Amino acid sequence: MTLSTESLDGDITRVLLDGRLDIEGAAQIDLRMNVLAGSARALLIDLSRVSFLGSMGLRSLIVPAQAVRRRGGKVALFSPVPMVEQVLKASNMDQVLPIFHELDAAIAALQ
Amino acid sequence: MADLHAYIEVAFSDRPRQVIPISVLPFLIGRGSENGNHLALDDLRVSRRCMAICAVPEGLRLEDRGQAGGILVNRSQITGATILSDGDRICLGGDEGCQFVFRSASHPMRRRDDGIAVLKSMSGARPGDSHHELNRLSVLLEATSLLHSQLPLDSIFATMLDHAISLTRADRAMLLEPDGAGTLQVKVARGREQKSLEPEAMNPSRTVLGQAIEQRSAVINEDILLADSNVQTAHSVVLQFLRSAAVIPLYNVMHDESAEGRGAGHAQEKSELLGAVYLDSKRASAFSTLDRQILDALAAQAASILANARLMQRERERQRLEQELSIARQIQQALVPQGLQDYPHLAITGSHRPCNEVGGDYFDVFPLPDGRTAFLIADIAGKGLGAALLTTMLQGALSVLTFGADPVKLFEYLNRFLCDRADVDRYATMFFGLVSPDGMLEFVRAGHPSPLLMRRGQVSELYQEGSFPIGLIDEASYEASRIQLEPEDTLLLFTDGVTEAEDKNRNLFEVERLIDAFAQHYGCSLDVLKAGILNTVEKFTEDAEQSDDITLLAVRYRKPGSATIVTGENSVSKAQSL
Repeated sequence: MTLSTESLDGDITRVLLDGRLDIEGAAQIDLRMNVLAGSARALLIDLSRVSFLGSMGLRSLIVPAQAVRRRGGKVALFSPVPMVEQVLKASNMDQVLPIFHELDAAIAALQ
Repeated sequence: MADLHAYIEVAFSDRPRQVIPISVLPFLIGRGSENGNHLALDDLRVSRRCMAICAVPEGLRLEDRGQAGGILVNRSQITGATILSDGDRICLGGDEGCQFVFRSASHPMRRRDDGIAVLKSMSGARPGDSHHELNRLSVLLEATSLLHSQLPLDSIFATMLDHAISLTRADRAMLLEPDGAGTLQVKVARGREQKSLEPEAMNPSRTVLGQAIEQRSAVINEDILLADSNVQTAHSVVLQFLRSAAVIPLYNVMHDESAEGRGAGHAQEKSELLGAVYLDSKRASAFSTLDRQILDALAAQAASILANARLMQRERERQRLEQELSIARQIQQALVPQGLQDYPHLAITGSHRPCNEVGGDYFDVFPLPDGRTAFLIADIAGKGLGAALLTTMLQGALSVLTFGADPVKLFEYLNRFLCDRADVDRYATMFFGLVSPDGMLEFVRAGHPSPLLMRRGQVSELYQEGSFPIGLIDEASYEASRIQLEPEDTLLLFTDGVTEAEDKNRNLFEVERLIDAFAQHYGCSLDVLKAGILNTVEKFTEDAEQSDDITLLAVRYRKPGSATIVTGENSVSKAQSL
């Protein structure tokens, strides 16, 4: 599991996750996700390259996202593959973190 | 006499383990030193004249010198004396807590000669070097033989450094190991006369260390004031008025022949830096006469000790994890109900196959006082002991439902409880169902995949909408839903270990395959159904490793009183009277 970031206009940080977000993947990104959660105003979490989302991986997305939201920031999930989207929906996470498949719409939601 | 290579290990249950070399013969052991004891122990269980180890033609002999209660060697009482061999356990007066272990190389002379030959070939020394050097090398062998004892790591390192000091006549010796960031940190430090020094107070010259690492070989600064300006200005060296320092970087010895074939330089590049031995002295030119071969031999020995220590540490860590897993396994096995009983209106069967690392799956079935039967399946995120402990907590909390608590309120309470305690750092998905004798199913869901319902051969999901797991989002709320079951309706509850089981190509089993397998078992008994589904999952995954718990719970509704048709009200009162 790798994590890279990119700054977009409008003070948005795009976080590109790549790999399997299982128990090992979660351990690999937890620290950096929490660092990002402590500083970013708006996070666009790009899930397009996440092939698997397990239960510990779900936690790695939600906990930092909640931290950003508590500080008044915004978080959006971008382009999950069907398996990942299914896990997000089964746990109602789409109600807390909006899921977008269009980049423009995601960026607009984070303004 | 100094080369006996025999040790006596004090292995009392209530005092620190000590290994004492048998330096003179006869070697006397007893309480206090008035009687000339070489090993004097301050312990009332040891008689003042306890025992002696003496040289006889057959080897070393243990003699009872008047120990109260006598002496047992390997659990048999000795009469007067016995010849000792390596590993013998000497027990005083039948007290198991009062033991010594005798340690020795079986053929001390041969072993030492072999060892010296190895060391000499390693350091490239020509035969016929001075006797003096041989003595120094044999000191090193003593350090190595300590490796095979049960000493704690730090004391092995300390002994190694003490030998390095006596070998090089340095004032201080330190062993450095790289920390997580790769910076060498002092782990053990020793002074002359086997004095232990505080590692934190050491201030080894980073410049000399850096040189040694860069050159990948031992660096001696014979006189730092005369050395190149780069070293002269090095802060720590000036501060401590040190004149000489020697640094020996330690690399994991490569036994890879193919690497050697490509040339020594290449093999070196592949080797791993284990740490460094740092020696310094206040005397100028302290190390100038030091033989290069001695340093190389010392490096080889220290590297082997360090590499072994690493292996030991990894082994201990592995054992600790294994122990933790076995506790988790025990907890989990204790929680899963053994041999589910059927209820008048329900047939139930369950299966729980834990993965190696022990996941957090859990199911339970219990009757309620109002005649309904509760069943639940839960999956705690994560694995190991933490997940198992949260499972026990959940089971405790859910047991209040037995007294008729509202499951929705309980779920909301549990959610807040876990979210408020961020340290718990875990959450669970759960499905909780209640079936009344008339077939009314009430259920509460918490992020758990929908159970499958088979009705007259057709399989469907109970629900499509999502729900919040417990302990992930503090504002989560839960609701109860109801559905009327028909006789022979069968519910299949599962955890994501089933649908996320992977084949060798990492394809997931998926809910569609589960639906197919379920539908194929229409009309079968629950046990046949369960075995058939597990078999299908097994065939799918073949030899791929099972990475999560695989848990199934099958529940079939049947009219109470089997053939007799009774009204709902009657069956409720019947169940209550049970």
